[in-house]
Amino acid sequence: MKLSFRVNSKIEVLDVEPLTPLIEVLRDRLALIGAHQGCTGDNCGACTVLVNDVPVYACQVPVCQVDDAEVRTVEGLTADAERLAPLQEALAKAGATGCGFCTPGMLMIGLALRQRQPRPGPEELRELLSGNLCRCTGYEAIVQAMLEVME
Amino acid sequence: MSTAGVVLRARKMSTVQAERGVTPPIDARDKVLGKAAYVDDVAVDGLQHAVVLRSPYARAKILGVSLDMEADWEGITVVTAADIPGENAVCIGESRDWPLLASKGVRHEGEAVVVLCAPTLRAARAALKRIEVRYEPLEPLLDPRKSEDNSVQIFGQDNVFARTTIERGGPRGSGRWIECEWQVGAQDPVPLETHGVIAKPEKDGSLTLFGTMSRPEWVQQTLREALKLSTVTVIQSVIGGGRSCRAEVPVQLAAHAALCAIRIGKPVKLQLSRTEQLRYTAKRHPLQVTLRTQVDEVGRLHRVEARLLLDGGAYATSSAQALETAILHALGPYHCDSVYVHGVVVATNRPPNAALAEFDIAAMHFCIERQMDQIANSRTLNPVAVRKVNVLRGGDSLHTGDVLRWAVGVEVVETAERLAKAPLVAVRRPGPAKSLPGQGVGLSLCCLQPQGGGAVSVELRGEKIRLLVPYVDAGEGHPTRFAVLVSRALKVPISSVVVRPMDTSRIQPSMASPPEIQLALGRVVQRLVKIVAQEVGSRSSDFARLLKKRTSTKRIRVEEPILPREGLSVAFHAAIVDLLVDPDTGEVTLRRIVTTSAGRRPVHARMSQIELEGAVGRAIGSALSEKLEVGPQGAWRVSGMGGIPKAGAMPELVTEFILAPDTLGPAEPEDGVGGAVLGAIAQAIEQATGAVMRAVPMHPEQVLKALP
Repeated sequence: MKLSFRVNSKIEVLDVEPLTPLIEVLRDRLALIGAHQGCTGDNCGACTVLVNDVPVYACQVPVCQVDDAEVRTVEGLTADAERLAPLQEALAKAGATGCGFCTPGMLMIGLALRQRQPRPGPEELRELLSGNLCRCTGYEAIVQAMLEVME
Repeated sequence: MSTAGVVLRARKMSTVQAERGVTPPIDARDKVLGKAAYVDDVAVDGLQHAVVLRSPYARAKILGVSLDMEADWEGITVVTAADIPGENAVCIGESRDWPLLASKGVRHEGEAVVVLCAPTLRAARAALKRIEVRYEPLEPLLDPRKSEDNSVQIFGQDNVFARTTIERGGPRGSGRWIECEWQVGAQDPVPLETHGVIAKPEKDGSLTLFGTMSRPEWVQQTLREALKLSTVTVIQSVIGGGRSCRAEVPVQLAAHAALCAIRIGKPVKLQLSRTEQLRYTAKRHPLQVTLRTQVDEVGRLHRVEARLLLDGGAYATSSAQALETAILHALGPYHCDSVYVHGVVVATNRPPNAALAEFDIAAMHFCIERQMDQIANSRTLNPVAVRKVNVLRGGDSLHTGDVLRWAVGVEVVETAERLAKAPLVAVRRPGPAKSLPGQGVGLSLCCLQPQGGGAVSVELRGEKIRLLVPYVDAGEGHPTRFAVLVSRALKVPISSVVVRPMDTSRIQPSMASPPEIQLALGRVVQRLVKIVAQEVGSRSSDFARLLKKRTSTKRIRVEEPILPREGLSVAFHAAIVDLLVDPDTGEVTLRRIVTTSAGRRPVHARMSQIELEGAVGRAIGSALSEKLEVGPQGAWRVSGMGGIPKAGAMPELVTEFILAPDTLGPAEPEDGVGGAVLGAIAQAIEQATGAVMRAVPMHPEQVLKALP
């Protein structure tokens, strides 16, 4: 099946099996390795990307569902690796990365929440991050870093 | 909400407010850009994909392996035990009982029988279904108590992998005896990234392995003995968490990938699926403890008798080490001169468990902390007072004979009590209206044996300083701490310090602990300064000035051995947990956890605080949300990754560090906090409801069952 969608503002046209999980297409066909496969079971959130600004688990979305859509991954957060996006800067400065495996997913859910109006307060933010697991930090550093950017 | 920063309190109570985010982790940039290279992120030309055929039975004879000859096997390579040229054994220290691939029989569900590789993962998985292994199932032994009884023999003469007894002082005549049984279930380390390895044959006949391996020397030894490979280079990838669980299982995976790679002369990747990782990889040894304590009217321990039973699973692997850790922490942070401790690790037909220090220490503390609570109950004493009466003091000796040169158990618990007096954040975790509030306290002591071994090197290349350090990082941030230490010592920007990942072609593996490595780095840096000073003919010790004078571009490399620290490295912790229990559902809502931790002065206080908060989170996960159930053939049936609590389940965290005199060998302040948290959660549930929690985990159904 021929699909066309935008990834990080770039149009991609691919011939791909329609039920292939989006994460596999991003990683194996487009070499966008930032989103990770942690659980392949709707569980850990390490594969979180935005589809039309909505956060999704890329391991659970068949690629046919993003036909004509806009997909945003961690690689699209900044065009210039020398200048990190505010959320990236905040997580890095706060030391909130740990092993880093959840970080791209955390950044994408953080971006979606930052774009929301009204922006979530601390308690709501913790609840909204509950679909993204972090083993290393106990979340507090991540939450505080995100709140700084959201304020 | 956490405290505004980490307050470092020296013993004399002078305070230092640590800046937040002073130095970002040296690998943070790559991680926030999505550029960090985990195993599955690395593109290799001609890469083949391996998968493993695993036993569906806990115990069975293997009658034969056959391929479906009607299937297309072109491009697919199948490897069995018969293809192993040397000893069919995974080398875990001295242990050699775990085969790379089962040959005559299997001893646990999920045991590897066949490994195959194909050009794509999909083709490899499809081919797996065309292999038939014929088994003759045998009755499995899944209960460690039955294994201890030796009614069915599955290992050696007595099913015992390891046994230790310590006895000090004789039985005492006076005091009341209190006997209790405690159980701590298995715990999955739940790394977010599953184990993975790429094996790449080189043109010179050597083999390079890249992946999530924290014990490269075991990989090298295994491939030397099993594959007769003399030159094996192990390079660590960026690792997605769970350093301690990257020791045993990845050795076997590395050997599987290597078997395929050597056979076909192409690079081969083997990465576990999440299901394989959850069901079949090593967990913390399930632990059963019988504790008999004799105490006087103030709850002082006169005699402690502890019997520990650990379920080692099907193969010994690192069980002896897990037992050693449990025995060392058998009395937790408490002192008693009259002690009998007996521990045994037995074989069962379950997937092999492994030594996971953080979790092993926490498990033993749950038991001793629960015992202290029952001592308090039996004498109607204040549980905090009972702890203060018994907690170790400087100069006390442990039951192992090790003498503690410093101890601040009373101080950590009093500091935690002071912090816990602050009002709870009202909006946080309100819980159901009828919930019952409870507050519990727990203490823990983390003891780390001196290790040493290997060496650190520092290389001066132009203005860059490169560190070669025998440490495999999985996200704990020690490379950043090493870099911070060196940049401070030399007064150079941290951007000029580079820490190489583990690579056995450049760095000799070692088990040295981070504090031991830090001490060696301190020495090697001093030598570097002297060498540069000599080269430029100066007596200055100002490294920046010396570098400016230096005209030579010659590379300087200085090496320094890592010496074992004298005596144990220790850290003390207290945790105070505030929670709510719904008496109708048994659901526990954590509201706040206060921890005070005494250890060495952190090189990077913020990083230590985050590490500590992560350890608290893992303790919460194992206490309240992890669900590991045993399938009919003994492997784990795990729904989800409950060992990691969700962000919304985390309580308010308050953290404080107390500095110990660094010359007396303290551990990192974050080491071993989990035991205090486990104990405090159990006591708080008991305070709230009267339910005596006798086992971990403490799910709602267990709380309801324990209600009086």
